[in-house]
Amino acid sequence: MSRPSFRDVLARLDHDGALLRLPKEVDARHLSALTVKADRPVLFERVRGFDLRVAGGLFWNRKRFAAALGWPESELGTRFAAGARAGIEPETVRDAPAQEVVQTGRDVDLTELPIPLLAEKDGGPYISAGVVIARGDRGLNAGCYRLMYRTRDETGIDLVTVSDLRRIYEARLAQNEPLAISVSIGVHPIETLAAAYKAPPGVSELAIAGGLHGAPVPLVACRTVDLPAIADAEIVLEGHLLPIGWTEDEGPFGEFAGMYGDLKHNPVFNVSAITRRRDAVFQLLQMPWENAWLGAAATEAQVWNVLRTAGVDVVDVAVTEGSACRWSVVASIRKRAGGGKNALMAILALPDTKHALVVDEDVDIHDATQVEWARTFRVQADKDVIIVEGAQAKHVDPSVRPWELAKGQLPMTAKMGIDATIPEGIPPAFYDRIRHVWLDDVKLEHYQ
Amino acid sequence: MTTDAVADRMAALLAARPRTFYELLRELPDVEYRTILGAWGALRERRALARDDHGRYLLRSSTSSP
Repeated sequence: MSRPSFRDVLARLDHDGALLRLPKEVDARHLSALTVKADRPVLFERVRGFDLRVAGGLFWNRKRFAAALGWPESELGTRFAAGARAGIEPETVRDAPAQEVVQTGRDVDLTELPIPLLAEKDGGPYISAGVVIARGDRGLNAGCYRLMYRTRDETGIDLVTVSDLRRIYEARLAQNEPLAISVSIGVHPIETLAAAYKAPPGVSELAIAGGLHGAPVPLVACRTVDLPAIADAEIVLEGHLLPIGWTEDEGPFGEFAGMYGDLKHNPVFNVSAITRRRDAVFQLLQMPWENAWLGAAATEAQVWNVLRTAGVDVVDVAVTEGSACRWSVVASIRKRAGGGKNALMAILALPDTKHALVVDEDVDIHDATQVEWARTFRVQADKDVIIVEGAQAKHVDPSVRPWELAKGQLPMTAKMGIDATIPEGIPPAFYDRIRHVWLDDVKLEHYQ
Repeated sequence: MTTDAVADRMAALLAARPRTFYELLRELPDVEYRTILGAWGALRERRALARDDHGRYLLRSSTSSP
Protein backbone atom coordinates (compact mmCIF):
# COMPACT_ATOMS: atom_id res chain seq x y z
CA MET A 1 0.00 0.00 0.00
CA SER A 2 1.55 3.20 -1.16
CA ARG A 3 0.16 5.66 1.32
CA PRO A 4 0.63 5.70 5.09
CA SER A 5 -1.89 4.20 7.49
CA PHE A 6 -3.15 5.47 10.86
CA ARG A 7 -0.40 3.63 12.71
CA ASP A 8 2.20 5.03 10.30
CA VAL A 9 1.01 8.50 11.35
CA LEU A 10 1.35 7.54 15.01
CA ALA A 11 4.87 6.24 14.34
CA ARG A 12 5.84 9.47 12.57
CA LEU A 13 4.48 11.61 15.40
CA ASP A 14 6.31 9.41 17.89
CA HIS A 15 9.56 9.77 15.93
CA ASP A 16 9.10 13.56 15.93
CA GLY A 17 8.49 13.66 19.69
CA ALA A 18 4.91 14.75 19.04
CA LEU A 19 3.17 11.72 20.60
CA LEU A 20 2.76 11.08 24.33
CA ARG A 21 3.06 7.33 24.94
CA LEU A 22 1.55 6.22 28.24
CA PRO A 23 2.77 2.72 29.10
CA LYS A 24 1.08 2.67 32.53
CA GLU A 25 -2.29 0.91 32.71
CA VAL A 26 -5.25 3.33 32.65
CA ASP A 27 -8.91 2.89 33.52
CA ALA A 28 -11.05 3.45 30.40
CA ARG A 29 -13.13 5.86 32.50
CA HIS A 30 -10.19 8.25 32.39
CA LEU A 31 -9.40 8.17 28.67
CA SER A 32 -11.37 11.35 27.97
CA ALA A 33 -9.88 13.45 30.77
CA LEU A 34 -6.31 12.31 30.10
CA THR A 35 -6.68 13.09 26.41
CA VAL A 36 -7.86 16.61 27.24
CA LYS A 37 -5.05 17.20 29.74
CA ALA A 38 -2.24 16.00 27.47
CA ASP A 39 -0.19 18.57 25.58
CA ARG A 40 0.21 16.19 22.65
CA PRO A 41 -1.75 13.36 21.03
CA VAL A 42 -1.75 10.37 23.36
CA LEU A 43 -1.22 6.66 22.82
CA PHE A 44 -2.59 4.66 25.76
CA GLU A 45 -0.63 1.43 25.59
CA ARG A 46 -2.54 -0.49 28.28
CA VAL A 47 -6.22 -0.03 29.07
CA ARG A 48 -7.50 -2.11 31.99
CA GLY A 49 -9.74 -4.96 30.90
CA PHE A 50 -9.12 -4.43 27.18
CA ASP A 51 -6.62 -5.91 24.71
CA LEU A 52 -6.63 -2.86 22.46
CA ARG A 53 -4.56 0.30 22.68
CA VAL A 54 -6.21 3.71 22.36
CA ALA A 55 -5.01 6.86 20.59
CA GLY A 56 -6.65 10.27 20.92
CA GLY A 57 -6.18 14.00 20.60
CA LEU A 58 -4.59 13.97 17.13
CA PHE A 59 -6.71 16.87 15.85
CA TRP A 60 -7.04 18.92 19.07
CA ASN A 61 -5.67 22.19 17.65
CA ARG A 62 -4.40 23.60 14.39
CA LYS A 63 -0.81 22.56 15.04
CA ARG A 64 -1.70 18.96 15.92
CA PHE A 65 -4.18 18.66 13.06
CA ALA A 66 -1.61 19.87 10.54
CA ALA A 67 1.04 17.56 12.03
CA ALA A 68 -1.31 14.57 11.80
CA LEU A 69 -2.02 15.36 8.16
CA GLY A 70 1.67 16.04 7.48
CA TRP A 71 0.82 19.46 6.05
CA PRO A 72 2.12 22.97 6.94
CA GLU A 73 -0.29 24.76 9.28
CA SER A 74 -0.77 27.66 6.89
CA GLU A 75 -1.74 25.42 3.95
CA LEU A 76 -4.78 23.55 5.28
CA GLY A 77 -7.19 25.29 2.92
CA THR A 78 -5.01 25.44 -0.17
CA ARG A 79 -3.84 21.82 0.13
CA PHE A 80 -7.39 20.63 0.65
CA ALA A 81 -8.64 22.54 -2.39
CA ALA A 82 -5.83 21.24 -4.64
CA GLY A 83 -6.14 17.64 -3.43
CA ALA A 84 -9.90 17.63 -3.71
CA ARG A 85 -9.65 18.84 -7.31
CA ALA A 86 -7.20 16.06 -8.17
CA GLY A 87 -9.46 13.19 -7.10
CA ILE A 88 -8.11 9.62 -7.27
CA GLU A 89 -10.59 6.76 -7.12
CA PRO A 90 -10.02 4.08 -4.44
CA GLU A 91 -8.60 0.67 -5.32
CA THR A 92 -9.75 -2.74 -4.10
CA VAL A 93 -7.25 -5.04 -2.44
CA ARG A 94 -7.62 -8.66 -1.34
CA ASP A 95 -5.45 -8.89 1.75
CA ALA A 96 -6.33 -6.42 4.45
CA PRO A 97 -4.71 -5.76 7.82
CA ALA A 98 -8.17 -4.70 8.96
CA GLN A 99 -9.27 -8.33 8.68
CA GLU A 100 -6.49 -10.07 10.62
CA VAL A 101 -9.15 -10.87 13.25
CA VAL A 102 -12.73 -11.54 12.14
CA GLN A 103 -15.65 -11.95 14.54
CA THR A 104 -19.14 -12.56 13.23
CA GLY A 105 -22.52 -13.66 14.53
CA ARG A 106 -22.59 -14.44 18.26
CA ASP A 107 -18.88 -13.60 18.53
CA VAL A 108 -19.62 -9.94 17.87
CA ASP A 109 -19.01 -8.09 21.11
CA LEU A 110 -18.61 -4.32 21.16
CA THR A 111 -17.60 -4.49 24.82
CA GLU A 112 -14.20 -5.69 23.56
CA LEU A 113 -13.64 -2.12 22.34
CA PRO A 114 -12.67 0.49 24.95
CA ILE A 115 -15.50 2.80 23.90
CA PRO A 116 -15.10 5.85 26.13
CA LEU A 117 -17.58 8.14 27.83
CA LEU A 118 -16.44 11.58 26.63
CA ALA A 119 -18.52 14.26 28.40
CA GLU A 120 -20.58 14.44 31.58
CA LYS A 121 -24.03 14.73 29.99
CA ASP A 122 -23.40 12.34 27.08
CA GLY A 123 -26.06 9.67 26.71
CA GLY A 124 -23.43 6.93 26.93
CA PRO A 125 -20.05 5.85 25.60
CA TYR A 126 -19.42 6.95 22.01
CA ILE A 127 -17.44 5.73 19.04
CA SER A 128 -16.52 9.14 17.64
CA ALA A 129 -13.88 8.40 14.99
CA GLY A 130 -15.65 6.11 12.53
CA VAL A 131 -15.69 6.62 8.76
CA VAL A 132 -19.07 5.28 7.68
CA ILE A 133 -19.34 3.91 4.13
CA ALA A 134 -22.68 3.22 2.46
CA ARG A 135 -23.78 2.64 -1.12
CA GLY A 136 -26.27 5.06 -2.62
CA ASP A 137 -27.60 5.58 -6.12
CA ARG A 138 -24.54 7.75 -6.90
CA GLY A 139 -22.00 5.20 -5.69
CA LEU A 140 -20.11 4.90 -2.42
CA ASN A 141 -20.62 7.59 0.18
CA ALA A 142 -18.30 8.17 3.12
CA GLY A 143 -19.10 10.30 6.16
CA CYS A 144 -18.31 10.74 9.83
CA TYR A 145 -21.12 9.86 12.23
CA ARG A 146 -21.11 9.33 15.96
CA LEU A 147 -22.18 5.93 17.30
CA MET A 148 -23.61 5.60 20.82
CA TYR A 149 -22.96 2.24 22.47
CA ARG A 150 -26.21 0.38 23.24
CA THR A 151 -25.51 -3.36 23.52
CA ARG A 152 -22.80 -5.82 22.53
CA ASP A 153 -24.05 -5.71 18.92
CA GLU A 154 -25.93 -2.42 18.65
CA THR A 155 -25.19 1.30 18.58
CA GLY A 156 -27.25 4.38 17.95
CA ILE A 157 -26.26 6.64 15.04
CA ASP A 158 -27.06 10.34 14.67
CA LEU A 159 -28.92 10.85 11.41
CA VAL A 160 -30.99 13.88 12.39
CA THR A 161 -29.05 16.41 10.33
CA VAL A 162 -29.50 16.46 6.57
CA SER A 163 -26.73 14.35 5.01
CA ASP A 164 -26.07 11.97 2.15
CA LEU A 165 -26.30 9.00 4.52
CA ARG A 166 -29.65 10.22 5.79
CA ARG A 167 -30.93 10.49 2.21
CA ILE A 168 -29.69 6.98 1.37
CA TYR A 169 -31.23 5.60 4.58
CA GLU A 170 -34.57 7.30 3.87
CA ALA A 171 -34.71 5.61 0.47
CA ARG A 172 -34.16 2.18 2.06
CA LEU A 173 -36.57 2.94 4.87
CA ALA A 174 -39.28 3.76 2.34
CA GLN A 175 -38.95 0.15 1.14
CA ASN A 176 -38.77 -1.14 4.72
CA GLU A 177 -35.29 -2.50 4.06
CA PRO A 178 -32.14 -2.20 6.19
CA LEU A 179 -29.16 -0.24 4.91
CA ALA A 180 -25.74 -1.91 4.94
CA ILE A 181 -22.87 0.20 6.27
CA SER A 182 -19.24 -0.32 7.22
CA VAL A 183 -17.47 1.75 9.86
CA SER A 184 -13.70 2.08 9.61
CA ILE A 185 -12.07 3.20 12.86
CA GLY A 186 -8.44 4.29 13.04
CA VAL A 187 -7.77 5.43 9.48
CA HIS A 188 -5.33 7.99 8.08
CA PRO A 189 -6.39 11.54 9.10
CA ILE A 190 -6.79 12.47 5.42
CA GLU A 191 -9.55 9.86 5.11
CA THR A 192 -11.32 11.20 8.21
CA LEU A 193 -10.94 14.74 6.85
CA ALA A 194 -12.39 13.80 3.45
CA ALA A 195 -15.27 11.87 5.04
CA ALA A 196 -16.13 14.85 7.25
CA TYR A 197 -16.34 17.06 4.13
CA LYS A 198 -19.77 17.53 2.62
CA ALA A 199 -18.76 16.76 -0.95
CA PRO A 200 -20.94 18.07 -3.79
CA PRO A 201 -23.44 15.56 -5.23
CA GLY A 202 -21.72 12.95 -7.34
CA VAL A 203 -18.27 13.62 -5.87
CA SER A 204 -16.81 10.72 -3.89
CA GLU A 205 -15.24 11.52 -0.54
CA LEU A 206 -12.99 8.47 -1.00
CA ALA A 207 -11.74 9.91 -4.31
CA ILE A 208 -11.10 13.23 -2.57
CA ALA A 209 -9.07 11.34 0.03
CA GLY A 210 -7.11 9.73 -2.79
CA GLY A 211 -6.47 13.14 -4.32
CA LEU A 212 -5.27 14.48 -1.00
CA HIS A 213 -2.94 11.48 -0.58
CA GLY A 214 -1.80 11.45 -4.20
CA ALA A 215 -2.56 7.71 -4.08
CA PRO A 216 -5.71 5.61 -4.01
CA VAL A 217 -7.34 4.66 -0.72
CA PRO A 218 -7.22 0.84 -0.45
CA LEU A 219 -10.58 -0.80 0.15
CA VAL A 220 -11.41 -4.40 1.01
CA ALA A 221 -14.70 -6.27 0.69
CA CYS A 222 -16.51 -6.67 4.00
CA ARG A 223 -17.23 -10.18 5.28
CA THR A 224 -20.93 -9.89 6.07
CA VAL A 225 -22.25 -7.00 3.97
CA ASP A 226 -21.90 -6.14 0.27
CA LEU A 227 -19.72 -3.09 0.89
CA PRO A 228 -16.07 -2.17 1.21
CA ALA A 229 -14.20 -0.83 4.22
CA ILE A 230 -10.81 0.87 4.43
CA ALA A 231 -8.36 -2.01 4.15
CA ASP A 232 -5.74 -0.81 6.60
CA ALA A 233 -8.12 0.55 9.22
CA GLU A 234 -7.42 -0.53 12.76
CA ILE A 235 -10.98 -1.76 13.34
CA VAL A 236 -14.02 -2.22 11.08
CA LEU A 237 -17.65 -2.64 12.13
CA GLU A 238 -20.01 -4.14 9.57
CA GLY A 239 -23.76 -4.30 9.73
CA HIS A 240 -27.07 -2.65 8.94
CA LEU A 241 -29.05 0.41 9.92
CA LEU A 242 -32.37 -1.13 10.89
CA PRO A 243 -35.48 0.10 9.05
CA ILE A 244 -37.05 1.55 12.20
CA GLY A 245 -36.66 5.24 11.42
CA TRP A 246 -36.08 7.85 14.08
CA THR A 247 -37.42 5.86 17.02
CA GLU A 248 -34.65 5.04 19.51
CA ASP A 249 -33.15 7.42 22.09
CA GLU A 250 -29.70 8.81 21.23
CA GLY A 251 -27.68 11.59 22.85
CA PRO A 252 -27.32 14.05 24.46
CA PHE A 253 -23.81 14.53 23.10
CA GLY A 254 -21.15 17.18 23.66
CA GLU A 255 -20.86 18.44 20.10
CA PHE A 256 -18.35 20.27 17.92
CA ALA A 257 -19.56 23.72 18.96
CA GLY A 258 -18.60 23.00 22.58
CA MET A 259 -22.19 22.59 23.82
CA TYR A 260 -24.51 19.65 24.28
CA GLY A 261 -26.91 18.58 21.59
CA ASP A 262 -30.30 17.43 22.90
CA LEU A 263 -31.61 13.96 23.46
CA LYS A 264 -32.68 12.80 19.99
CA HIS A 265 -34.43 9.88 18.42
CA ASN A 266 -32.45 8.06 15.79
CA PRO A 267 -32.04 4.74 13.96
CA VAL A 268 -30.04 1.80 15.33
CA PHE A 269 -26.94 0.17 13.82
CA ASN A 270 -26.95 -3.62 14.20
CA VAL A 271 -23.39 -4.95 14.00
CA SER A 272 -22.93 -8.23 12.13
CA ALA A 273 -19.11 -8.33 12.20
CA ILE A 274 -16.14 -6.77 13.91
CA THR A 275 -12.88 -7.13 12.01
CA ARG A 276 -9.59 -5.67 13.14
CA ARG A 277 -5.85 -5.79 13.23
CA ARG A 278 -4.42 -8.25 15.73
CA ASP A 279 -2.94 -5.42 17.81
CA ALA A 280 -5.53 -2.80 16.92
CA VAL A 281 -5.49 0.80 18.13
CA PHE A 282 -8.91 2.27 18.92
CA GLN A 283 -9.08 5.94 17.92
CA LEU A 284 -10.81 8.38 20.24
CA LEU A 285 -11.92 11.62 18.56
CA GLN A 286 -12.32 14.07 21.42
CA MET A 287 -14.99 16.74 21.34
CA PRO A 288 -15.21 19.58 20.63
CA TRP A 289 -11.95 20.58 18.97
CA GLU A 290 -11.04 17.37 17.19
CA ASN A 291 -14.35 17.43 15.37
CA ALA A 292 -14.21 21.19 14.85
CA TRP A 293 -10.76 21.10 13.25
CA LEU A 294 -11.93 18.42 10.82
CA GLY A 295 -14.12 21.11 9.26
CA ALA A 296 -11.39 23.74 9.16
CA ALA A 297 -9.56 22.76 5.99
CA ALA A 298 -12.71 22.50 3.92
CA THR A 299 -14.00 25.82 5.24
CA GLU A 300 -10.73 27.57 4.47
CA ALA A 301 -10.72 26.00 1.00
CA GLN A 302 -14.27 27.29 0.43
CA VAL A 303 -13.23 30.81 1.50
CA TRP A 304 -10.22 30.79 -0.84
CA ASN A 305 -12.47 29.70 -3.70
CA VAL A 306 -15.23 32.21 -3.06
CA LEU A 307 -12.79 35.11 -2.68
CA ARG A 308 -10.99 34.23 -5.90
CA THR A 309 -14.33 33.93 -7.68
CA ALA A 310 -15.17 37.42 -6.41
CA GLY A 311 -11.93 38.74 -7.91
CA VAL A 312 -10.28 39.37 -4.55
CA ASP A 313 -6.48 39.10 -4.36
CA VAL A 314 -6.26 36.75 -1.36
CA VAL A 315 -3.13 36.48 0.77
CA ASP A 316 -4.21 34.16 3.59
CA VAL A 317 -7.33 32.64 5.15
CA ALA A 318 -7.88 31.17 8.62
CA VAL A 319 -10.87 29.97 10.59
CA THR A 320 -10.92 30.82 14.29
CA GLU A 321 -10.91 28.00 16.82
CA GLY A 322 -13.52 29.56 19.12
CA SER A 323 -16.03 29.56 16.29
CA ALA A 324 -15.80 25.78 16.04
CA CYS A 325 -13.34 26.33 13.19
CA ARG A 326 -15.98 27.31 10.67
CA TRP A 327 -18.33 30.11 11.77
CA SER A 328 -15.80 32.92 12.01
CA VAL A 329 -13.22 33.54 9.32
CA VAL A 330 -10.29 35.95 9.04
CA ALA A 331 -8.80 36.75 5.64
CA SER A 332 -5.95 38.98 4.55
CA ILE A 333 -6.06 40.55 1.12
CA ARG A 334 -4.24 42.91 -1.21
CA LYS A 335 -6.93 45.54 -1.34
CA ARG A 336 -8.19 47.71 -4.13
CA ALA A 337 -10.67 50.48 -3.29
CA GLY A 338 -13.81 48.86 -1.86
CA GLY A 339 -12.16 45.44 -1.85
CA GLY A 340 -12.60 44.94 1.89
CA LYS A 341 -16.39 45.11 1.64
CA ASN A 342 -16.44 42.93 -1.48
CA ALA A 343 -14.42 40.30 0.32
CA LEU A 344 -16.78 40.38 3.30
CA MET A 345 -19.85 39.90 1.12
CA ALA A 346 -18.23 36.93 -0.61
CA ILE A 347 -17.25 35.23 2.65
CA LEU A 348 -20.61 35.84 4.32
CA ALA A 349 -22.37 34.24 1.35
CA LEU A 350 -21.05 30.87 2.53
CA PRO A 351 -23.68 28.97 4.51
CA ASP A 352 -21.66 28.28 7.66
CA THR A 353 -19.87 31.61 8.00
CA LYS A 354 -21.49 33.87 10.58
CA HIS A 355 -18.70 36.40 11.16
CA ALA A 356 -15.96 37.55 8.80
CA LEU A 357 -13.01 39.87 9.35
CA VAL A 358 -10.85 41.14 6.51
CA VAL A 359 -7.42 42.72 7.02
CA ASP A 360 -4.60 43.97 4.81
CA GLU A 361 -1.67 41.80 3.84
CA ASP A 362 0.64 43.38 6.44
CA VAL A 363 -1.36 41.71 9.23
CA ASP A 364 -0.48 38.13 10.23
CA ILE A 365 -3.90 36.56 10.60
CA HIS A 366 -2.49 33.72 12.71
CA ASP A 367 -1.46 36.26 15.36
CA ALA A 368 -4.55 37.21 17.41
CA THR A 369 -2.85 40.35 18.72
CA GLN A 370 -2.17 41.66 15.23
CA VAL A 371 -5.73 40.94 14.15
CA GLU A 372 -7.08 42.78 17.19
CA TRP A 373 -4.73 45.70 16.46
CA ALA A 374 -6.14 46.00 12.95
CA ARG A 375 -9.72 45.72 14.20
CA THR A 376 -9.06 48.44 16.76
CA PHE A 377 -7.18 50.98 14.66
CA ARG A 378 -8.50 50.45 11.15
CA VAL A 379 -12.23 50.18 11.90
CA GLN A 380 -14.95 52.76 12.39
CA ALA A 381 -17.98 50.77 13.45
CA ASP A 382 -20.46 53.03 11.64
CA LYS A 383 -18.62 52.66 8.33
CA ASP A 384 -16.78 49.35 8.39
CA VAL A 385 -19.21 46.87 9.92
CA ILE A 386 -21.85 45.27 7.75
CA ILE A 387 -24.76 43.27 9.13
CA VAL A 388 -26.95 40.99 7.05
CA GLU A 389 -30.19 39.97 8.70
CA GLY A 390 -32.25 36.87 8.03
CA ALA A 391 -29.50 34.61 6.71
CA GLN A 392 -29.37 30.81 6.87
CA ALA A 393 -28.46 29.43 10.31
CA LYS A 394 -28.05 26.19 12.25
CA HIS A 395 -29.95 24.85 15.24
CA VAL A 396 -26.76 24.22 17.21
CA ASP A 397 -26.35 27.99 17.80
CA PRO A 398 -28.43 28.86 20.92
CA SER A 399 -28.41 32.55 20.00
CA VAL A 400 -30.91 31.82 17.18
CA ARG A 401 -33.33 30.52 19.87
CA PRO A 402 -34.08 27.25 18.06
CA TRP A 403 -36.52 26.16 20.76
CA GLU A 404 -38.90 28.93 19.67
CA LEU A 405 -39.15 27.54 16.13
CA ALA A 406 -42.17 25.64 14.92
CA LYS A 407 -41.55 22.01 13.94
CA GLY A 408 -39.82 21.96 10.56
CA GLN A 409 -39.07 25.69 10.65
CA LEU A 410 -35.43 26.49 9.92
CA PRO A 411 -33.53 29.05 12.00
CA MET A 412 -32.14 32.31 10.64
CA THR A 413 -29.28 34.44 11.86
CA ALA A 414 -27.72 37.87 11.47
CA LYS A 415 -24.27 37.78 9.88
CA MET A 416 -21.57 40.34 10.55
CA GLY A 417 -18.56 41.43 8.56
CA ILE A 418 -15.80 43.73 9.76
CA ASP A 419 -13.62 45.51 7.24
CA ALA A 420 -10.37 46.03 9.14
CA THR A 421 -8.38 47.09 6.10
CA ILE A 422 -6.90 50.59 6.01
CA PRO A 423 -9.89 52.86 5.26
CA GLU A 424 -9.98 54.57 1.89
CA GLY A 425 -8.59 58.09 2.17
CA ILE A 426 -6.24 57.44 5.09
CA PRO A 427 -2.61 57.39 3.92
CA PRO A 428 -0.96 54.06 4.83
CA ALA A 429 1.94 55.99 6.36
CA PHE A 430 -0.26 56.64 9.40
CA TYR A 431 -0.03 52.91 10.07
CA ASP A 432 3.76 52.64 9.92
CA ARG A 433 4.70 50.18 12.67
CA ILE A 434 7.45 51.12 15.05
CA ARG A 435 10.66 49.29 14.39
CA HIS A 436 13.26 49.03 17.12
CA VAL A 437 16.75 50.24 16.39
CA TRP A 438 19.64 47.91 15.51
CA LEU A 439 17.34 44.87 15.40
CA ASP A 440 19.32 43.27 12.58
CA ASP A 441 22.71 44.05 14.09
CA VAL A 442 22.42 42.83 17.68
CA LYS A 443 22.23 39.20 18.78
CA LEU A 444 21.07 38.37 22.31
CA GLU A 445 23.06 35.13 22.39
CA HIS A 446 26.30 37.13 22.21
CA TYR A 447 25.50 38.39 25.71
CA GLN A 448 24.33 35.11 27.32
CA MET B 1 -19.06 -9.44 39.67
CA THR B 2 -21.31 -10.67 36.83
CA THR B 3 -22.83 -8.35 34.26
CA ASP B 4 -26.32 -9.29 35.41
CA ALA B 5 -25.47 -8.39 39.00
CA VAL B 6 -24.11 -5.02 37.87
CA ALA B 7 -27.15 -4.49 35.68
CA ASP B 8 -29.31 -5.08 38.78
CA ARG B 9 -27.27 -2.49 40.70
CA MET B 10 -27.73 -0.03 37.84
CA ALA B 11 -31.46 -0.72 37.80
CA ALA B 12 -31.68 -0.06 41.53
CA LEU B 13 -29.82 3.24 41.17
CA LEU B 14 -32.09 4.35 38.33
CA ALA B 15 -35.17 3.30 40.27
CA ALA B 16 -34.10 5.71 43.02
CA ARG B 17 -33.83 8.73 40.72
CA PRO B 18 -32.99 9.65 37.10
CA ARG B 19 -29.27 9.77 36.36
CA THR B 20 -26.94 10.48 33.49
CA PHE B 21 -24.67 7.66 32.39
CA TYR B 22 -21.79 9.55 34.03
CA GLU B 23 -23.63 9.78 37.36
CA LEU B 24 -24.32 6.06 37.15
CA LEU B 25 -20.68 5.36 36.41
CA ARG B 26 -19.57 7.40 39.41
CA GLU B 27 -21.78 5.24 41.63
CA LEU B 28 -19.99 2.08 40.48
CA PRO B 29 -16.29 2.76 41.10
CA ASP B 30 -15.63 -0.87 42.04
CA VAL B 31 -16.80 -2.26 38.71
CA GLU B 32 -14.47 -2.79 35.74
CA TYR B 33 -15.38 -0.50 32.82
CA ARG B 34 -15.82 -3.44 30.46
CA THR B 35 -18.29 -5.02 32.88
CA ILE B 36 -20.13 -1.69 32.94
CA LEU B 37 -20.47 -1.84 29.15
CA GLY B 38 -21.79 -5.39 29.36
CA ALA B 39 -24.25 -4.56 32.14
CA TRP B 40 -25.49 -1.49 30.31
CA GLY B 41 -26.11 -3.63 27.24
CA ALA B 42 -27.98 -6.16 29.37
CA LEU B 43 -30.16 -3.41 30.79
CA ARG B 44 -30.90 -2.18 27.26
CA GLU B 45 -31.82 -5.69 26.18
CA ARG B 46 -34.29 -5.90 29.05
CA ARG B 47 -35.93 -2.81 27.48
CA ALA B 48 -35.62 -1.38 30.96
CA LEU B 49 -34.50 2.15 30.15
CA ALA B 50 -36.46 5.34 29.59
CA ARG B 51 -35.43 9.01 29.56
CA ASP B 52 -36.64 12.14 31.28
CA ASP B 53 -36.88 15.59 29.70
CA HIS B 54 -33.19 16.28 30.44
CA GLY B 55 -32.02 13.13 28.70
CA ARG B 56 -31.27 11.37 32.00
CA TYR B 57 -31.98 7.67 32.28
CA LEU B 58 -34.68 6.25 34.46
CA LEU B 59 -36.19 2.84 34.88
CA ARG B 60 -39.40 1.94 33.13
CA SER B 61 -41.93 1.35 35.89
CA SER B 62 -42.93 -2.12 34.67
CA THR B 63 -39.35 -3.46 34.66
CA SER B 64 -37.75 -5.59 37.32
CA SER B 65 -34.58 -7.67 37.37
CA PRO B 66 -34.81 -11.08 35.61
